[in-house]
Formats: sequence, structure tokens, C-alpha cells
Amino acid sequence: MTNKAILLVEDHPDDEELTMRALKKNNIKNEVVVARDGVEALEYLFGTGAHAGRDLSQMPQIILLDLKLPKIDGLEVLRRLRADDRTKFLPVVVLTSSKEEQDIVKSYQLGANSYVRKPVDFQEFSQAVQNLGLYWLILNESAPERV
Amino acid sequence: MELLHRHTILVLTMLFGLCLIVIYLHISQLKTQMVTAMAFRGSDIYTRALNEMRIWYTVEVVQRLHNQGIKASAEYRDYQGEIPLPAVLSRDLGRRLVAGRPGERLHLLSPYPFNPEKKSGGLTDDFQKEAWKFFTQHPDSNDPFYRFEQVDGRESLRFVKADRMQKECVECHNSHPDSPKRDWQIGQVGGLLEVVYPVDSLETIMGMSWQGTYGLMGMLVVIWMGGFGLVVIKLGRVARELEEEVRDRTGALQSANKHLESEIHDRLLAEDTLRKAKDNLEKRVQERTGKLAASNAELIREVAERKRAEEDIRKLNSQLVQRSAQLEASNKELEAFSYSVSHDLRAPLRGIDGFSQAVLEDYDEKLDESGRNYLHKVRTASQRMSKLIDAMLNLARLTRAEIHTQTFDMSAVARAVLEDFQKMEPDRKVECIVANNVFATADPQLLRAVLENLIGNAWKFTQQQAHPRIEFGYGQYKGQAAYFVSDNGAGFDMTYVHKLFGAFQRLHAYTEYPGVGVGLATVHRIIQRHGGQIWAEGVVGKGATFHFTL
Repeated sequence: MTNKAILLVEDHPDDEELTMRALKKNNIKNEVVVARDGVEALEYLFGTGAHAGRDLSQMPQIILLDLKLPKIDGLEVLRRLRADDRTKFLPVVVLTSSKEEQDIVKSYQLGANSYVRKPVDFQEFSQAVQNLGLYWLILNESAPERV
Repeated sequence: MELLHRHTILVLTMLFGLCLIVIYLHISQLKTQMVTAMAFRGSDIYTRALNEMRIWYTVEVVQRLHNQGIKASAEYRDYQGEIPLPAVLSRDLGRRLVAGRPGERLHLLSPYPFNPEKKSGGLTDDFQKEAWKFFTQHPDSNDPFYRFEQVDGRESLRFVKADRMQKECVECHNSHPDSPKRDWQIGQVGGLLEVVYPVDSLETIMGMSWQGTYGLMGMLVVIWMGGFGLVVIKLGRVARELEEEVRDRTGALQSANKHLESEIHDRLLAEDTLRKAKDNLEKRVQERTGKLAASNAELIREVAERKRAEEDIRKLNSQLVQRSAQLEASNKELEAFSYSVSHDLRAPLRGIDGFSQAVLEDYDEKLDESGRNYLHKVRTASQRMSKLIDAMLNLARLTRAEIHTQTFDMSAVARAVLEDFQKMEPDRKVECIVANNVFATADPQLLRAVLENLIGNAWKFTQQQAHPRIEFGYGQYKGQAAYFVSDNGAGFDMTYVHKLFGAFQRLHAYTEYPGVGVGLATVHRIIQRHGGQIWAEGVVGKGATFHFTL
């Protein structure tokens, strides 16, 4: 398991807390950076705004991206980071409430690596987070930093 | 002319006969004229020859010899050295000329003959006297005096010419001792030269030659008759042929006539039939026209109605368009609504469930059994609500989803669905009967949802059955071909069958058979969207059967 950060893009504090709890319960100790809207997420990724001057060599190991976000929504965030050379290979897992076909299709069209629906049952949710951590943080081999 | 046409042969024969008669008469006349002319000619030649001979003799012989003392006398035969008198020469020559020609006579006559001639030289009959009288009265006439009469029983021409005194004659006659008259003057008529010329001999000669002519005419007649006969025969034959032809033609014409008559008869019959048909037709046309007029009025009325109806339809259409627009708008709203439901309604539920679980985990020692139980109920309720939301969204999606029709094997789908349920509950023993080769033309995904729901219900409601049985097939139901899914499960009370397909309607207690109550509503919606029908039959405790058409 690498110690790279996890970028959680989530506007709802309850969901944020539940996700954090699920991560903790599954012993995922990576740093979790939380962006509460699309703008913040992009600022963090590109080192602008509130995150100006950030060391851009430290990119998150995985981005957990909610779709319904204030200001800039998740799909737009996805589109922009896939358009930039620095972020285009970052693994992005769409983690959202919706099971709408249009959302799933659009996410994959824009280059999402995975699409997971947050279950209402917390035990199921926890299980999903565990699976994600196991896969993306341990099994999956990321693209080299400089391509 | 008509007579000529009718009796051509008779008339022609008569004309020919007439011609023959005319020719005969003409020839007869010609014969007479020729005989007369020949007699005249002969007589004239005789007289002239005798006259010229006497004059020549007088001048050339008598006078010359007279100058040498040779005397001319009547009795020269009796005296040597005497020569005949010119009159004697005439008399003798005349006799010699007619010798051997019976009936002909040629002699010189005078009322003043020289003595010795008194016996024979005087005028002996009436004709001679008349002739003398004529010439004494017409002393200059050179024409002959003549008459045809019987002489010695023969028809003869008596021809007399005047003998006038010449210069050479006068001297002698006035001086000759035998002369009975001494006052002769030159040119005075001294005598008559008479010729008797029998014409019967001429007629005989002519007759000989006429016989040839008549023979010729006869031959002509015979030839004519022959030719005529031939012509008549030929004409007869032609006439017969013509008659035959006429008969044939007449026959042909008669048969043609009969044919024509029968044809005319037929035509008349046909005409009659036609007339009747025409009358009939006219009657029918009138009837039809009447009917047409009636139906026309009807049509006009109908057209007016149609126009009204069209107007209504147009209005309805515009209303529909409006409604459609409204519907579209509300559809979009619904989509937006379900989108936000999908996102926003679930988040709090997740919170409720998640934090309940957190309490249960983190404060377990502080809770008693009752508190723990309540929190479990909170979690169950929130999870059920989540399922309800999912079912509702699913139903809404089905309302909007496009239908992609294709023909596929329903039997295979039914088997696959049953296998899925079997996998989920491997311990259950359910008798599954799936008919082979049941095909459907519909949206395969939606029909799979139908079978999932119906078979799922059957699977669920046969839980308490000792020998559960689920059947899928296709068959006649009340005269209608339909698909069916039947089970021998809990069944239902037919009293509430009308509630069966309503959304969130349940006929069983949740605790008995869990479920959100949208499965049959979903099925109903899908069947409706395919233009089909679905109906159910059930007996409580015996089972249920769902029939549907597409």
C-alpha cells in the first residue's frame, strides 16, 4: 500500500464523514484530501487558488469523485483533469448516489476508471470502500509520474 | 324499237327479205334498161353503119363510076357493067347483116321508092306511117322514132331513123329515070331506116348471166341464213349459258337473300333485345341516378360532417400538440425530478443508516437491547425506503425508455431468469416447466424485466409450498393466444384483482412476502407500452396465473 493521498470530492458532510469512517474501519491510512466542490478539487489538482504553490509532483493515488457538486459538477471536473497532461492518467472512481444511466455513460465517456454507487446500507457501503481500497491502492499499478 | 328488241330475228329476216326484193326489183329494172339500151345501141350501130356505108358508096364509088359511064341501077344483077344503087346496096347489105339472126330486120323504106322497088320499098304498116309522119313534121330531129311491140310473135324494138337527102343524092334522085319524085332538096327526109330488134333474145342472154347473179344472191341468202343460224345458235347457247348463269346467280342471290333475311331477322331480334336491354339499362340508370342523387346528398352531408370532424380533429390535434408539448415539458420535469430524487433522496437515507450503524458500533455498551432494536428498525426502514425509491425510479424510467423491437426466444429468457433465482437460493427445490420455442417480437430487455418480475413473484409466493411448481408457456386462453406464467403458490383473492397492477399496491403482508409493490405495475406498464394486455387469475392458497399478449 502506497502512502499517496486520496482525493475525496464530496460536498455532503454526512457522506464525507461516512466515507472517512468506512476508510478508517477498513484500515486505509492514506492521507485523505477533501474537496467540497469542483472548483476546490481543480485548485488542488492544478495548484491554484487555495492550493497555490502546492507540490504538483504529489498527485493523489485515487480520486473519489461525487457527481452532484456545487459550482463545477463532477463530470466537468473529470473532463478538465482528463484534458490536462498532468492529470490525464489519474485513476478516477465516480462515487455517487445516482444510478442514472446517463450519469454512468457520461462518466465513462469522459474517462472515468470506475463507477460505484454509494449503497444506503452502511455495511454494504463499507464493503464497497474496502473493495475500492484493495483494488486501487494495492492491486492497481498506476501510470508513471512523468510520461 | 320494242318490237325490234322482242323479235330481233323476225325483223332482221324481214329486213333481209325486203332488201332481197328491192335488189331483185332493181336488178329486174336494170335488166330491162340494159336490154333496152343494148337494143338501142345495136339498132343505132346498124343504122349508122348502113347510112355511112351508103354515103361512102355514093361518093366514092357511084359518082366516080358514073363519070366513067358506069350506070347504077336497081337491076344491076341483070345488066353487065352496072352497079347497084345506093338504096339497093343498103337493102342488100341490111339483109346480109341480119342473115342468120332470126327476128332481126334492117331495111330502108320510103314512100317514094324507085320503080323496081315499089313492091318492097313502100311504107307497109301503121308504125312506119306514123314514123314518116313524125319525121316529116320534125325534119330536123336526129332522135330515133321507136316502139316496143310484137313482131312475128316476138317482143321487139322497132327503131327508125330519118334518112336525109345528101348533096350527092339529090342530083341523081332528081334525074334518075326510076325516081318517082324530082324535087328533092338537100337535107330533106327521103326515107326511113328501120331496125327490128327482138329483145327476147337479149333477155335470154341477160337471163343467162342473171342466173349467175341470182345464184350468187341465193348463195348469199344461204350464207346469210347459215351465218344467221350460227349466230342464232351461238346466241341461243349464250342465252342458255346466260340463263344458267342467271339461274345460278339468282339461286345464289336467293340464298344470299335468305341469309340476309335470317340475318335481318336476327338483327331485328338483337335490336329488340338491345332495345329492351337499353330500356332496362335506362330504367336502372334512372334508379341508380336516383340512388346516386340520394347518396350524393348523403355524401354532401357526410362531407360536411367530415369537415366538422376534421375541424374537431384539427382542434384536437392542436390541443394534442399542446398537450404533447406540455407532456414533454412535464416529462423533462419528471426526468429532472427523478434525477434529483436519485441523488438527493438517497443521501439522507445513507446518513440515517450509516450513523445508526455508527451508533450501534460505537455505543454498543451504552445501549440496551431495546435501543439496539430501535436502531435496527431505523436501518431497516431507511433501507426499505431506498428500495422504494429505486423501484419508483425504475418505473419512471420504463415510462420514458425507447422500445427496440426484435424477435427473440422467450423460452431461453425464462430459463435464464429461473436459473438466476435458483442461484440466489440454491437450496430451494422448485419444479420449473418451460415450453420450448416460445418466441416474441418485442424489446428483449423490457420483456426480460417482465419475466423477472412475474417469475420472481412466482418464486416468492411459492416459498411456503411443499412442492413448488412454476410454469412458463404460450397457449390459448379464452380464444386468445397468450403467454403465461403460473405457479401453485399463495395465489390471491379475485376480489382484489383490480388492485393487482397498481403501483405500491400489495395484497400480502410485508412480513409474509416482502416487496415494495411496484413489480406488477412495472410489468403492466411494459405490456401496455408494447400494445399488449395482461390479466391475472388466482385462487387463495392454490396459485396464480398471469397471461399477457404483446
